[in-house]
Amino acid sequence: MFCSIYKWYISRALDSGKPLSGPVGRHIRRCASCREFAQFSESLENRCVKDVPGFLDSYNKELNEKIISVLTTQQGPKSSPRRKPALVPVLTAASALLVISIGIVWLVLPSSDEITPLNQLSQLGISKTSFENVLVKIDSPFEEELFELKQTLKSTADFLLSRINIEIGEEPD
Amino acid sequence: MTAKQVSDEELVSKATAGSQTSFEELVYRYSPRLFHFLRYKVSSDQDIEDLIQETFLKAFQNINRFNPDFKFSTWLYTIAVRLSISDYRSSRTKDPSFIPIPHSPEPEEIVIQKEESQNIWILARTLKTEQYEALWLRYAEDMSVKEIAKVMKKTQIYARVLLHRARLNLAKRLSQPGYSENATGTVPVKHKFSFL
Repeated sequence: MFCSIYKWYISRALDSGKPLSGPVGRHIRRCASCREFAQFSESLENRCVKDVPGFLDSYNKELNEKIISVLTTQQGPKSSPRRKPALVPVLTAASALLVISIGIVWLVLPSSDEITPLNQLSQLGISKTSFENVLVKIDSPFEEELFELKQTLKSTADFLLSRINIEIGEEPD
Repeated sequence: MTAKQVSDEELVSKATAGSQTSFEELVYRYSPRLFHFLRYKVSSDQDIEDLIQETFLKAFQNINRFNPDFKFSTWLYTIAVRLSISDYRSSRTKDPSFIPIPHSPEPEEIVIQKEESQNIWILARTLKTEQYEALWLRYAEDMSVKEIAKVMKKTQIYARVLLHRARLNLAKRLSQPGYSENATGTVPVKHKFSFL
């Protein structure tokens, strides 16, 4: 079973021109059947090349004359066909053109077409500033409380300052 | 410079320029090779002759489309294989009972083969058609596995498997009693495998 695998490796090495790996070489040294196959496979190339001319001699040369007589009655080679443009660059250029066109159309279209709440209000006659003021008031329900807290904090600070009575920048008595 | 010294590429280039003599030289070079390649693929000698004629005609008419980055032999064999496939399909349509018979030698043929076993290709004829074709392209045409796969319209792995089976079967046949030569053959070999 393993010999058939090693024989496959031998064939593969011959066809790829790469050397055999170590384990295969070690196996061939031990196994007579694989060694014989390796020797035969190696010799086969030379033997086949050497035997080709003798094998070709059995060919009936009258056929050549037939072929040539047919060729002479035929027209010469067809004119070189116009090469079709390669498909990939054409597709790439077309898609790039499409993207650029879409981009230009997107930029050129008037922005008023965009439907936003502010656009809708302006259409109703309400100015943007007044609407924002209203929004600020609505958004700050604790405005008064904050103002009172600020006042309280300021008065507390004034009281504390008057009690401590620090005079910055003056020499003590 | 004799015609034999001119490379295929030069002949193709001259044929492309309109030289019919150059193309005729290519016919002389490749028709015996194509004949032996197609011999076991096609049912009769007449069909092989027609197929070879058609192959050269197609090559002649389309020589301007030949890409010089590839070998001429690869291109020519590819045309031949494609034509043989379409020929097989059309013959099957005409006669549904037509099935190409794999070449299995008769007993007396085996005796003759044993006598003629000095030539490895005569023995190789007893292999299955695809194995024989792969072996022919590999050694008679000096094609790489990639080129063989391209010509035979198979994957590279399949081409390797065909070559491996061809070697195994040839070794088996040569080791059978009756063959005068031993399995290693008579050709002196410069070993690629250092341990042999």
